[in-house]
Amino acid sequence: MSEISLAQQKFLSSKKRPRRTVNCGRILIFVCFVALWEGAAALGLIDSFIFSSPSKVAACFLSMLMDHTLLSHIGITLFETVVSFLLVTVCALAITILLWFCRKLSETLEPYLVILNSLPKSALAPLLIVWLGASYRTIIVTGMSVAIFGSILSLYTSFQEVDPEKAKLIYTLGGKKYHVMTKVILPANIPAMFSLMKVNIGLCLVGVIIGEFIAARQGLGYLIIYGSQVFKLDWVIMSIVLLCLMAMALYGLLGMAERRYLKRFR
Amino acid sequence: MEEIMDEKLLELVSVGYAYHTMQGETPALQNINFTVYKGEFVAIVGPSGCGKSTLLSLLCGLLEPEHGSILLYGQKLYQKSAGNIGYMLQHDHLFEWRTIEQNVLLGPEIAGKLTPRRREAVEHMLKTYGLYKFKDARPSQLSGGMRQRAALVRTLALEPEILLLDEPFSALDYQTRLAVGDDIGSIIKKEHKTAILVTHDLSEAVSLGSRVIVLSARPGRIKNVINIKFPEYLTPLQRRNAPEFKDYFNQLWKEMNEHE
Repeated sequence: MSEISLAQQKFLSSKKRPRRTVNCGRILIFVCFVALWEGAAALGLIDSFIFSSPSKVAACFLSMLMDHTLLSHIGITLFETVVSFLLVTVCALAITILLWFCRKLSETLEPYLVILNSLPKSALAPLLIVWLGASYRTIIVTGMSVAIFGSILSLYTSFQEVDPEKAKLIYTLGGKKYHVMTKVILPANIPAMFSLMKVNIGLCLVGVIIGEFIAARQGLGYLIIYGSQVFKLDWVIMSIVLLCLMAMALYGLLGMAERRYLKRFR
Repeated sequence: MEEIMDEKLLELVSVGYAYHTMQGETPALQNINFTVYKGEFVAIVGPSGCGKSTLLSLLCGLLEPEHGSILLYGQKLYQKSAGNIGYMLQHDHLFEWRTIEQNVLLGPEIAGKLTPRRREAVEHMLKTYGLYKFKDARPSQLSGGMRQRAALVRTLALEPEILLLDEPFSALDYQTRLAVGDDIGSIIKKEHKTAILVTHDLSEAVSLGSRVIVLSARPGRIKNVINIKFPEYLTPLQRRNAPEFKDYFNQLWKEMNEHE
């Protein structure tokens, strides 16, 4: 590599400095928060029975890990979330494609989709459990119900936003409506699908936890609701922390896939 | 040259078209009659909104004429195989998710004609027009002029007999526009294609066309047809410097501004 000029070095370091400050700030907030929490609990400023403490949460985590109960709770929640996410992605895409091909159908269904999307989906959960029974299948459906209607609506909108001239190009090359879908609409919407998926993974997690609150004997949602009922707040807080980590990991994975896809165009 | 020019390729017989909305009917074209012979470069000029783009949509079979008929080799055109007619749109619309090579092969791919012979022909065109070393590049890495050339190769990949050009240079800056106009004019001549160019730029029409059809304002009717004669060897850019150029230009200018 050629030598970097002084001005360029200066520029690079001036760009790097704010980044470092931001990263330091982030770590500092985390450390301060944990230290304050632990300190306040140790000094008796807050009641560690209700508020727990980082050390108690960590101890709880280790002991539950040892007796092999925790991994199955994490596993079932993860499984339900991932399955409902995949189903939402596939179903929303399939339904949106159908709606795009069939204008009359999409116009007919639009008000229903809007209503179902604005409905608070947690209201549906008790009904789903009565209808489908208390099993993991119900929880997957609950997870799906939170994300699917919004996905269809926003995917359909971004399908509509594709430049009609691009469709015209396909027709001038002798293509049919089917080719407009496969050669233009779908590839043009891959970035939109990625950002939709990043939203959906969070929504599915919300739906799964709602489902587990109401009808589960396993999973982090169950652990939260059960822990709060028997005043095992270590369980509750540990589960929330684990949910945070799970959400972060799933989101991160999708972000990685997105970056890998976009990198092909640089 | 004369003997090739005798073959009738495309014939329009009292073609008319109107757009219908809930508010009413807007006639776009009325009583359009002309014939295009093989190897001709016909330029169509007219004020904006005179139905130029409608005419091209009719010519490539995207729309069906309401009145009259369009004949290709004496046969009705509408929704016949689109392969006979290539349409080059105003913007290149190269897809960013495809490489240049994949972009120019889009037509054969859709038609299911990705034969080795076709690939070879396209590859040859990419080489001839200086795009071969960019065949794996993305459209955003190309200059405006190169993109327009790639769009032309994409249109030519289906080996059309007639090329329709819908103001293909209007999105470019003036400098590039002259260069690309020259470029594309030469390519079309070299590939022995018949072309119909729609433009509102009079100098473009004179520099490229062998015949200029002047349309009136909406509804578009044929106002006049002017034959353009330059020495055969002149490129579009050289035509602009020829003494006849300004006469043709003035004639067209007058034609366009009469009674308006």
